[in-house]
Amino acid sequence: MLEGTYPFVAGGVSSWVHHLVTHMDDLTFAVLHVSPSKGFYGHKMAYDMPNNVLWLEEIYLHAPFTWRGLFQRRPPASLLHTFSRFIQELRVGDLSGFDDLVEELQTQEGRTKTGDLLLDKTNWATMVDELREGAPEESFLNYFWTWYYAHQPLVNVLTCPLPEARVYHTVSTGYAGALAAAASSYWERPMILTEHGIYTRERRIEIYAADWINDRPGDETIASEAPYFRRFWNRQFQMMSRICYEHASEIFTLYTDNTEEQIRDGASPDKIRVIPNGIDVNRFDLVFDERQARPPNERFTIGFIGRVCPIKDVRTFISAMRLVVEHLPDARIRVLGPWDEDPEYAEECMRFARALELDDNLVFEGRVAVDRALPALDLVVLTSISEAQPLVILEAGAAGIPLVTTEVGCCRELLEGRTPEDRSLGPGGLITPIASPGETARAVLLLAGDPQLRRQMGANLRARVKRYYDQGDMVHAYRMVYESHIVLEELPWQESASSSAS
Amino acid sequence: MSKKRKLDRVIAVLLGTLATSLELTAATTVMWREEPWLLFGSLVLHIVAGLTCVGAAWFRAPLSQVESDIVLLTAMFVPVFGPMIAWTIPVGDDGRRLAGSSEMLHRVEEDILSSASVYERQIYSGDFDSDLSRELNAMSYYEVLRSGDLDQKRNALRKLAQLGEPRHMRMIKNYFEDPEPELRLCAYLEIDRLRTHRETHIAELRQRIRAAKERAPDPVALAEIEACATELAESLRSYGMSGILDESMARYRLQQALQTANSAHARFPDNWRLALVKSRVYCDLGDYDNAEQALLSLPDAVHDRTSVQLARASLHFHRRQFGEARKIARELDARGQSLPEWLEVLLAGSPEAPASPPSRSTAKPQVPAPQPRIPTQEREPLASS
Repeated sequence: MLEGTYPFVAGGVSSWVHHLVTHMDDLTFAVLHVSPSKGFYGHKMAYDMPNNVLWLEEIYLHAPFTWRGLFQRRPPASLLHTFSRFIQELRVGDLSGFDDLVEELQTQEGRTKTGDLLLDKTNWATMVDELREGAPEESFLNYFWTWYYAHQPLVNVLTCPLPEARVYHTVSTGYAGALAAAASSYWERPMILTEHGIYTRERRIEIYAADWINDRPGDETIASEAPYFRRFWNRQFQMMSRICYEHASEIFTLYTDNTEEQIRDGASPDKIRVIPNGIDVNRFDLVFDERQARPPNERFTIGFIGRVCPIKDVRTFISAMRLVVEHLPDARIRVLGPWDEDPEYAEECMRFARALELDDNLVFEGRVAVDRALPALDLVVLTSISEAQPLVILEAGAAGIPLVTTEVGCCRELLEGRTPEDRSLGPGGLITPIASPGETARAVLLLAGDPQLRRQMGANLRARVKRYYDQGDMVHAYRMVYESHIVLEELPWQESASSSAS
Repeated sequence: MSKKRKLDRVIAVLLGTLATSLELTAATTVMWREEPWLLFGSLVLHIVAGLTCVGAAWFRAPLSQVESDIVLLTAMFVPVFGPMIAWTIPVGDDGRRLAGSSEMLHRVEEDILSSASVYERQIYSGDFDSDLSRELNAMSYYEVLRSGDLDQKRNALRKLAQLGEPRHMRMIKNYFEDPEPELRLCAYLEIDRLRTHRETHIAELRQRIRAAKERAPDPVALAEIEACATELAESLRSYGMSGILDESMARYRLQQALQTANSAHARFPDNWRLALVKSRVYCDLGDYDNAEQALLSLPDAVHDRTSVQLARASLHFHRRQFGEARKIARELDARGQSLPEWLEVLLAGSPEAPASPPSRSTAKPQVPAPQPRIPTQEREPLASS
């Protein structure tokens, strides 16, 4: 169960999923992708579907407003009652009604329309009561539509047909997490969760910065809590995460710091385990050899590998490169990554680079095969404002390239080591604060001016990646997890997919 | 036409009108209401409408075959027409969602809000100390940032960004290294919002200059280039001084401001504002001699202008010539000019007062030499190759 990622969007999480699926070719997968709306990602997929993916289905969070047809009946009273109870309990953090709701909704087999359920008299009263008790001073119209659009995606997800599987695996909480929890509850099969970044945190930031949420004007004190509607949305996402955490048999994350936040959001510490990201280290041996063979007098080349989107803070990278070029006028700077996620931002970055007169040094090359680009790089820079465990660090590291990265996610852990034994390998690069072009430039110049230090850090990082971040270990760990949960029997959709393939 | 026929026609038209009205009433009733008795009433109206149409047809029948057919068809379809409207537009329960929803929402809104003043600004919390401190604009954001919970800290960061002074920006930027990732991101978002605003403005000015250059030597285009270049130099300077950027980028922007002002001044030597921008940038960069030279190059006619006097006061202040700076402040004060905060403090108190004009004079003279700390060196030596 995936949300806003594989196979439609290229990126770290997508690559991780793709690796996992392709390296377990003896297992078959059904991919359910939660998309914002129909056609949001177009029909183009960022990855070729592996042969062992037998089923791919998109589920839409926002479907057109629908209600029952002319001759259809009102949803059954028991369903209306269960739903009403569920949303009432959700308000106070009680999730016990979730399983009953899923059962009732699935029994309806899609006959219940979201509009019918949400806007029935029963829920109308619940909704009005909630506002009376929670925030009587807020605008009702504002509240009504917030309430509706906060619940509509969840109902859409829970009413969609859930395929029967031996084990469900979701790569985030949120809507995909709720979907996985629903499937797990309905088919009584285990569900596991792997959280790369913390979903609720990402949503909190989004809600904090959102300009589409209408705050009531006048609430000016800094000591006050967040405005009502922002709290409303935060609570909604927090509850969905809790649903997922409670239903998950096991919870995995990529690095230790994430676990604290998961526990804070309601995950049981007993369920949590760390399985770090991994890459196919051997694939990069060749890249390493190619790098070694590079003539020493080649133009110093700095690479930025990642999507050109706001979260990567490409503007800070460009600013830093302006400062670098002041001292290294010959430096070659390559931005390697797709810009289709946010073309407007990419265009803005290109304009920004031109305005800083970097035309002779900096090139936006778009999406490239990393192992083809790496041999020509001396240094990789990452200026992201938020990351989990970036694959690019592992890939560059496996090729023996040192990095300058911001202090986000587990970048420090990757560059400097997690355990005392790991740390004894030495640093694999330099860490800088976010949004600090000056610091980034200084770090780049330090490494540019000291080839010995660069080589040393590259070697340290390569050793670390080889020892601790081998993809084989990661795949093996998940294979063990799957095997411990899998119930062996042929599933209906596998039969039909196999017969249609034949 | 005979009298009887005329009468028949009048009766037929009246009956047809009545039938249509009944149909419309029936349809509207079903659309807007959902109670069973109204539905029954609507059904009765349909039947009456149908019978009325048959009556209309009876009176019209003797006229001609075609007219008779039309009337009969109408008689057949009118009773169907009303229900069709009613069924096409959602009926029963669903009617409420469409036609009635807006009305209902407003009714509930009025009901709920009757006792609450929705948009009333909540100024007084009832706590004397916090109310007073807020009134004095002294509510300590710093205290909240030190001890508040996550929500309060986020609010404080937002408010600091709204205040927008360079000192507030520095406070926000401290959170780039906060152990709490969420606060780091909030701080980043606030700074980025302001950064984007400034960058966009600068990009627009550059674009306008480029567009005007294409139209040169048209005198209007030249005037636009001059105006935009002056604004661009000032914008770059103010961006560099805004506290939004880190030291290195701020210095870079100041240098860009100087470069822009220099090249524009060379092209438009009579534009004294460009010379003034140059002087202020030199002063910001700590190059006081050149700042003074730029001020001296201004034509005599503008020496008394407030902006020039302020630039001069700022230069004196940076050179620690507080007496001179205070003299200018007094002159401006006597003229009824409002003074910036730092100059007011200087005027009121000792030169050691904790005020300073906006300046980057403490900044290093160029992008500092590449000597950053290597974070892990203190803990672990680099492994030997």
